[in-house]
Amino acid sequence: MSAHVLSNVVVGLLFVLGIATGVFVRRNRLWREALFELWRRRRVSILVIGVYVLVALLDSIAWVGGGDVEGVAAHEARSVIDRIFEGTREASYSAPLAATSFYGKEPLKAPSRHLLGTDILGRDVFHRTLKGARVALLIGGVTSAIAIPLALLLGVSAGYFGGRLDDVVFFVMSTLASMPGLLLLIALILALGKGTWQICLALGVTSWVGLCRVTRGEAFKLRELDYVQAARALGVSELRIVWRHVLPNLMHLVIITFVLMFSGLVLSEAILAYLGIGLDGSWGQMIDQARDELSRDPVIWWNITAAGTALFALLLAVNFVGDALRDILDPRTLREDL
Amino acid sequence: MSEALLEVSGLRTWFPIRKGVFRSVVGHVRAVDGVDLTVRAGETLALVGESGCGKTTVGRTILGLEPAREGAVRFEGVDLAALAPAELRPYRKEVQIVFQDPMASLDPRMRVREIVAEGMRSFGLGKNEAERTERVAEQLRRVRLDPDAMDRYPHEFSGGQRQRIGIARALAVEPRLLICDEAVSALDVSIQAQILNLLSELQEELGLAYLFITHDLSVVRYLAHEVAVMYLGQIVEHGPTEQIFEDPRHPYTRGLLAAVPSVDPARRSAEPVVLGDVPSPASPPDGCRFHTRCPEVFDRCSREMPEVAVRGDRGCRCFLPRATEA
Repeated sequence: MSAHVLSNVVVGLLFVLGIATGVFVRRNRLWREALFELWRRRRVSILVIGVYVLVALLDSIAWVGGGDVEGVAAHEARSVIDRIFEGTREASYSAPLAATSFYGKEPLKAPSRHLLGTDILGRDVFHRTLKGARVALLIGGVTSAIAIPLALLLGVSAGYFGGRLDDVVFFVMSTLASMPGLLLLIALILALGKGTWQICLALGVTSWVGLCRVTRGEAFKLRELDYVQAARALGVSELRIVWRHVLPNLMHLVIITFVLMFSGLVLSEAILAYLGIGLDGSWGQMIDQARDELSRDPVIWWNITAAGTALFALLLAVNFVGDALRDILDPRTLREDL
Repeated sequence: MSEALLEVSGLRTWFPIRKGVFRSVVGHVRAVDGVDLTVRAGETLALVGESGCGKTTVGRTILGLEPAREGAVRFEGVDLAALAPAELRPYRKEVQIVFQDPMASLDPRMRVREIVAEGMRSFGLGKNEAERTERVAEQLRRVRLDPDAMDRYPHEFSGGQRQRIGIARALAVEPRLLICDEAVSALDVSIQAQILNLLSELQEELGLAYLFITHDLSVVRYLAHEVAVMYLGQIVEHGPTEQIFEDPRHPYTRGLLAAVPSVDPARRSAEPVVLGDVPSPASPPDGCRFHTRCPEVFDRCSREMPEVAVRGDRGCRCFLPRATEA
């Protein structure tokens, strides 16, 4: 299956998942009230994240053909975002909203339409910045999809069932935690090769430990709680207890950790890009490539500013939401009127 | 006196103390160390003692939440402690528990409807959702709660109401024995009275038997037909409630009763109170378990462990003549 078909399928699946989550939240009053409270407190941040998600989704819906565009092979799929910026590629640099190219020689194809200028290859910087959203969300999303189930499976089984399994899981966690994260990450990427899946896998391997430790401790605590004991006395099977009592009471931790982990992952990718092993089209890569341009005279500042601002705004919004979520969902701060 | 519903004999529940890399067992906490007791159908046995004496562990072992090391838990003659988990399942329905802390005993993410229906689902009571809802409503009415509240979450109720929900959950599988583990200790006194009244009404309505685990002697006198006094993993005295209160024979029982605060100065006794703290159940004293704190200790006590001397319907684990000669 070619990459763009897979991408379209994933968008469809996300849509279905979104609706399913919506239905669940509508039915469950506790979650509904928690989300409403989140909306009340962090309206702007949520809207900002929403814009990023929308852009990333639009950039994920792609198809082949539709208009003859120069410089694009006939079999190459282009996303909705790509199609908006079609035919605006210049020869080289131009400043934001400039009518001529950077060195003033040739007129532009799309004068005064490059909101954030163009880069050395004449690509629209605003276009590239928008495309970076997809890469960032892809890294955060795919890595979380690898790390969270792994952390939950190992953490809950170690904490709830204990014994030898707990010893093994704890040993693996301690071993991983004892290695410098960045070195391990680089070693893994060098071993696995460069690519979206490889980098996500490498990030996943290095990031599950934190959540695993938290879920292990929580499952260990929940195991002894009276309502779990009561369920056991009522003859409910252990697996069903985990499903009905332990996992729902861990969910708030998973969500909080996910949100905070997400921003860490996006940042990690930027650091990797800076070291030259990041993903193509990421903000990290844009920042890395723009380093040299800062030494030009006059300075080409729009490249690095655009990528940096986009990265910063997303991380800030995510952290704001994470912070509010921690207040809202943490049972220690659970208010009686919630 | 009715027939025995639950007979516990020679029950020992020890918790291993593990140390080192290989988790080798270096000792045991003898939480329950040779307990005999009998709960009769439709009656209440109160199990009293200080914190840490093992009374909660007795309840948990009867429920099969802790494995018994030795001894038998006979429910209508069937030894539950010897059954495999699958064989034990039908008996889970017969014995249920109400916990002390109504905050911790209800899952905060479940609605009352789901909490009360959990046991019904587990045992296949009620064919469909509608029938289960009807049964949940019936249970809530039984504990004097409004059935309309079934779609609310535990944190929306007061402590007393939550304890009623806990009772409804236990009653939903129609047990014949209810273990109340400090079931009213965490509640305000006025709420305590309501819950105790509810429990005694339910006993009359449903013919329930209670094993009432508590440290609060005033509650015992109100509710219990019989009392067993527990000290450091053993029963030191048992008998009908009135007799235990009027004529306590074991020095520990007398100490406990003397420690109950009384508003009537005339009833305040000059009896010696129990001295010091409870020894560790990981290394209980030789001889009589109580001799380190007993005001009437003599040399035999530290050498030999007294057996329970049974006289009529009373028993006492002590060498003193007062204990053995009724």
